[in-house]
Amino acid sequence: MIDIIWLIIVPLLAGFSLFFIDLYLPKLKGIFILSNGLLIFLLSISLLIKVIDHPLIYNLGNWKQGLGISLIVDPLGGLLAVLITFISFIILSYSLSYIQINQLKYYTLLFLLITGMLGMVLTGDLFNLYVFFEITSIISYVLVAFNKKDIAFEASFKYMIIGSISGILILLAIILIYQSTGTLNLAQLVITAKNIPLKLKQVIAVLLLIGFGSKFALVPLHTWLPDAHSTAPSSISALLSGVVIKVFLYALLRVLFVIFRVEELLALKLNLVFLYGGVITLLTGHLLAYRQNNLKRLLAYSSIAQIGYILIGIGVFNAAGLEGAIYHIINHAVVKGVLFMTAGILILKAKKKDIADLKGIAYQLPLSSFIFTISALNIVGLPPFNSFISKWILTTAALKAGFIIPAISILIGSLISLSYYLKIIILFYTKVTEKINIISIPYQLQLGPLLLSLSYLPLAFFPDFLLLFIKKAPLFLLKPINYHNILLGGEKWLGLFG
Amino acid sequence: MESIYLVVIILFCLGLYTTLTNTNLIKIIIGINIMDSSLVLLLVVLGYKPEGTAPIIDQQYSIIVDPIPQALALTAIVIGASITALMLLLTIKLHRNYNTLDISEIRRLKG
Repeated sequence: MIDIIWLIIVPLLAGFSLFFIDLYLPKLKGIFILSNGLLIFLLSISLLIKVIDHPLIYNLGNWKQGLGISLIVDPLGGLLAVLITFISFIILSYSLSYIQINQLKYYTLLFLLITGMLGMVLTGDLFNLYVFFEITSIISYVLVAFNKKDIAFEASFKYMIIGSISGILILLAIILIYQSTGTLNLAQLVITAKNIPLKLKQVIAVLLLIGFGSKFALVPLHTWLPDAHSTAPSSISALLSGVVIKVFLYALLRVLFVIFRVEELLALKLNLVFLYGGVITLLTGHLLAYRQNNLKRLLAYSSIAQIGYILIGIGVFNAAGLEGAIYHIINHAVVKGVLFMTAGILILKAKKKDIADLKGIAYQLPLSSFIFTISALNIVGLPPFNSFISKWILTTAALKAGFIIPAISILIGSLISLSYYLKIIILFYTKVTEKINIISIPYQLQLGPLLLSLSYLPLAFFPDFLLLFIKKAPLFLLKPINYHNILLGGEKWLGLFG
Repeated sequence: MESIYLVVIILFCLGLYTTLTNTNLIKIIIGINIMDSSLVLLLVVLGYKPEGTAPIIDQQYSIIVDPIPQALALTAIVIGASITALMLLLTIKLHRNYNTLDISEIRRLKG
């Protein structure tokens, strides 16, 4: 029961106590950072094991139910919390050798970013969600500008304008919800959302879709993402692309499914918005990625495309589609993390950002290039890898529900991505006569991506174990009434599949 | 009461219009601030009751204003202020690097 709140307290405390550690025990800083990262990872695992059958609620300050702020964790939230802490731990260890300047500021901000994301996943209160949303956003703006270059400031400002307008739209949606229901608690909203008039519900849905959509790069609203993700330090790009955009997507899903019943969503044709928005996002992302010659920009566009796959899975609107979407969220977070980290190593070593300048780098940096190659083939969705499994689930779910165009576009998108990733891989392994000037960098830098890429093995060869957890995740999304009944001691528990 | 909602709507649209049409960085920031303020006004109106007193649960006060929107308004103000501060900081940095405040000239990133 108590670990829910510790998951938010530990990173927050670590972020702010880092200053004192640096002042009095500067030698212990690295160990302190890593041990905190490990601690929240273990806490989130123990939380996931607890919530897998039964969602938990925690009332802050022991206020009576419904009066104060509460934290609510269901299987989906627990799963995402484990994903966030796992990727963050790897990023923290990678940053120890990657970030050389302004370390203190960097780690304080990074721990705050982790706090914000965990808060968004674990919260059970709409306004609390908004506060954590803004914490995550503000820290992301700052971290994008961390390199202190002109283009970094430009990207950060662009991100910030779009981000603050989306934040205002979400605040407006939350105010409208509160006005007609009188509550902000997500579990109570399941019942009281009936009081919202239908017209107002449509307005709220549009506000939420635009607000959160511009945060997870739904296609017409994606323009900030390639700039922000490519100019940030590589460790931050890995976190932003891998986890942060997924957390915003989760927040949209959680609020939408609490306020609307599934039948209402289908009547409003919101599933088609997700489905065809996903198709457009996927194809645009892949086509624009094909034209890029900057390595990190290409990876950022590829992230947009992967969001498209996830949206298609959500748009299918049944358990199978959501399972595929959640599995793809996990796969993409892991793989894109590795890709950005290895791209960071390659760029750091060759001092060049363009793909054409990295020709023949595989002969200088065999390990990093090999990890990059494996991960690129993974994200394309070739059979032995884990992304293949999630894409397979998504495609079959779309076909079974009768959506032919999205299923075909998944295949077309994978083909396009194969073409541009193969282009890079071939370039990496082309022999060149003149040697690239290479700076020596610490060997530990390759440890992070190596460790993270080892997790492909369990993801690819033992998917059943993970699917066991994933199968339970969409339950409370599709049947939010259970969410209310369990948490607030309602009349009856409708059973897993009843 | 209805006229206050009208004020909120006008302010919100004005802020959005300012943000979307201006190319000056400072004016964009002002526009976002106007939008934010309109929402704070909406929150305050939401909790208002005629002749309501401060939210103290006691027998002698029967009409009290709703305290939750006021708490939310405070939080929204804090968040708005921190975003404004960060935006102004970035504006200073951009002005130093590009020597202009016109956003249509600040475009080294494209593609």
